[in-house]
Amino acid sequence: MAIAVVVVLPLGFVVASLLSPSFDVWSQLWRTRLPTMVLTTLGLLVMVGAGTLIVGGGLAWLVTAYRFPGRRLLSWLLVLPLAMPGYVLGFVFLSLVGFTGPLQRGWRGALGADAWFPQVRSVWAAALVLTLVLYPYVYLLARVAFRETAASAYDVARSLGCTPWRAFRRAVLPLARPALAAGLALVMMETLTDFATVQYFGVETLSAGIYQVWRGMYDRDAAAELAGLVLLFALVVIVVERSLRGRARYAEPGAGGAGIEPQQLRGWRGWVATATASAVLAAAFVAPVTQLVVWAAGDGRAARSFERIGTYLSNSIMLAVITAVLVVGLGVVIANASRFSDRRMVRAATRISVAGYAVPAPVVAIGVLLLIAALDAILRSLGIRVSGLLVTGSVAAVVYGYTVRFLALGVTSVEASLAKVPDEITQSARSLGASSTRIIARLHVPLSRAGIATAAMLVAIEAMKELPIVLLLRPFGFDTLPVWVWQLAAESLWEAAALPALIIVAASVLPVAVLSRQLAKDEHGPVSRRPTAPDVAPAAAVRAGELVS
Amino acid sequence: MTSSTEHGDPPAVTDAPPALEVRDLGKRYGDTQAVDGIGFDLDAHEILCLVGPSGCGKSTVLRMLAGLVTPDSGQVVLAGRTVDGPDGHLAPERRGVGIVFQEHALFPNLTVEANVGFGLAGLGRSRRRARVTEMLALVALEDHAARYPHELSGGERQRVALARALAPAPSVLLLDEPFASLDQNLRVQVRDQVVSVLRATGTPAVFVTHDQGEALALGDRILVLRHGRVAQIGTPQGIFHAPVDRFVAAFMGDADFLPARVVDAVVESELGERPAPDAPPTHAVELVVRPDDVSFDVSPTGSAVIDGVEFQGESNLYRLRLASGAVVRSRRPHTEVVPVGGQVTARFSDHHRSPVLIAGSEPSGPRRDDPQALPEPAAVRTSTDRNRNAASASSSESSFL
Repeated sequence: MAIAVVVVLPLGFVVASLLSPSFDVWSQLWRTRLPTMVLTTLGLLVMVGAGTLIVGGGLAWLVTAYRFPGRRLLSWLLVLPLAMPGYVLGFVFLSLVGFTGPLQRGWRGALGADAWFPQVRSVWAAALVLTLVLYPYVYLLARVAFRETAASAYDVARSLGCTPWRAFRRAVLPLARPALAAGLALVMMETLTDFATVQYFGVETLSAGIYQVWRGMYDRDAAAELAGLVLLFALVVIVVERSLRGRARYAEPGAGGAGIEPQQLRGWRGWVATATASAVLAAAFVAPVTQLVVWAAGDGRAARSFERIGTYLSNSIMLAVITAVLVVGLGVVIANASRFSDRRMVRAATRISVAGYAVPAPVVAIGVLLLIAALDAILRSLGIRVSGLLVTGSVAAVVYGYTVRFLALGVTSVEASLAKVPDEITQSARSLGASSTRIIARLHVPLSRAGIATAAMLVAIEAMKELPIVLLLRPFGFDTLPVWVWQLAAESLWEAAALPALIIVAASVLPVAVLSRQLAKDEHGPVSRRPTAPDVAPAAAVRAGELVS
Repeated sequence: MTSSTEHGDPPAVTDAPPALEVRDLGKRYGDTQAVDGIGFDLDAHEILCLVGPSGCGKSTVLRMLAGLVTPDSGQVVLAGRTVDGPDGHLAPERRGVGIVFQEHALFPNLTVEANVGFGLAGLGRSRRRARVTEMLALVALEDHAARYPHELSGGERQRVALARALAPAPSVLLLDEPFASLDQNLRVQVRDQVVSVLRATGTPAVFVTHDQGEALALGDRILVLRHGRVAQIGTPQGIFHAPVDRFVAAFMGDADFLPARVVDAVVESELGERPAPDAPPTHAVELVVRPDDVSFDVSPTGSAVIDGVEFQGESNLYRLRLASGAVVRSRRPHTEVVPVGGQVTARFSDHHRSPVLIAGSEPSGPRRDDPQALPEPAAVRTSTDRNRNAASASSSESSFL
């Protein structure tokens, strides 16, 4: 319960600041850039949403309903972009397509120096990059839905004389709607969270605004109000997702049957399908990774910066390990609390403590800032002066922010593995006189240690990739790998950024590969998972759920 | 037979308090009253079977006794100590009640020895070891101490679970469908072993089962539950031969029901007449007829027809359609073969005991808070006074033969 309070506290501060708007701050914001920021954010959300829906949903249908060369391999490789952080793909994209990039140079070479080229530093380009890294959320959920929920409906529609396309529109899409909505919600949450990637493209979203207002002017009030607005956006996303789900929430887990029998695409059609899927994969993963490798290999400075990489890497690892230990420890406590108590309060507290992941990272960060400010004020009124606590932030604040954000991931993973320990084991132990701590230590932890290890790994990797929170909360001089990548990239020092970026991508590939293998296994195994769309929870908790279930 | 089953008599005064007293226990889940005012006593050394169809609340009762579920109302008194009641709820780990589950719930990460020793944390090392050895000897698994649960057979696991639950010398042992996960051949064998261990240690026990055959074989007494209420409590013989209503009659063994009339202390039915000296006169009643009570003779002029036959190994179970259209079953030796469709004369078999009369329509289940008031050997309940007369009717000697 105390955990729930600690988790919700930062959010409370943001909500409070939204509920008690300061007129001065608002009027100033309004005069300057607020209207643009709101419009840009909306536009970006719509574009990325539409993009991921078309790319993710389309690819999911392609690999589900058709057979074409390389289908099986592509069907799991298409998940890989999940391992590519937006702030990495963003700068690679910029380098390749930007004014001095090979694409534009070739273009000008062919059509003359004044040939028109679309503006790269634009909201369109940012949306394209985010679409490429975020479409796997929609892709994953849609594939599960297509395969499990909609398979028998599709078969019935075909037997009633529908063409595949018509069956898709009339039977499959309506049934898959909740899953698509859930995937879309995840995408939008991630879009709201991001402010690093969009800044490469000079796009001013609300989240980017938070960063600039805070890091540029240390204007806490303005940052808090903006964070409140972002939170509002997130709430709207959740509400829309719920309503899109509609009654489908109650749908029986359909007898998925044997799944959709894929149709063979012959001749050039098959190759077009292969090429389309490969192109997406190439643009989102293969090409950028190749470019990074080339840079890293050819960069003379890489050797010189090795020492610094070591420092940043150890910072990152330290953060990741502390966060993982903390989150998993709390996760074990929370997951067990609901087993030992059937009181509603405990259950509600568990649900609340998981809310952090549905809240965009900048909001979490600003909430933590406000909390620290309040603490600071209290300490000062008590006569204790901790100089610079607020302005410079502290590693503790970063860890706190991470914990709030990733707790859901830890709790859901630990819960999923604890669920496999039968209640009777716990009850037998209790009737044998064992206290709850003894049961947790002797039975629950040993019996769910695989799940706990998975949770720790997932949290650690997410913490390693995390950029927005650390950017907002880090103390001066405290850099992690993502921060360093981002700074180098912002200064167009792409070659230098390549090696640390590769390290991040490599670490992120690990859980994605495990997930892909799991999915491939499911493909041949019995249809077991409930096809209902998961809650708008953690992007990564979706993966976690997949991993451990 | 224990004191509390002696119907009509005041409960015998014993020196020791009952091992377990349950009073008016209730539990509600949402809109469902899972358990509704259950009450019974368990004497020292007694084995009680809680039996009923799935969803009747029997497992919930067991979990409440163990303290795993907190009752909404009522009292549980364990060996004289109130563990559930108006003054609160004692946590399961502090009750000293043993529990054995259907799936055994052995701790898979611990050896047999560590499993059995789990509840002996308070004991010193050497005493704990001695107790574990003693318990393993009791269930004949001394040489399996170092094994892990997955290395044991189903029956062995069951015995480990029993040894583990008995090791801390619980005041009561609760068993939740403990044999349901074993296959049929093993079940009887393990059941006998478990009962003999319980007898040897003198541990009073409450079994939950949905298998009426198991209940009849195991229990000193049986408590039949229906919709969370006590339908009947009594000895196996009492419940089998004198069910209080249609539900108990049908649940505890095969039973058919025949309309009958009582005229001048004689029960008249389609299968013939039987004297019933104490039956209330001239009321339409229903007769419980079990397959062993019915016999027939092949006769071309017989008014009954063989409707079907089920081969059951050592016997054949015939379905007879009587002239009125009523259907009764008759169990005959397998040596005797009568073709389906043949005409027969149906009658009570020669060894037929007292006919059991119950009310003409199925009652909704008796509501009684005091188990002592429950009818014991037989209940005659007529359609006019069916709800309140049961106790007085049962206190008379109700053999109608």
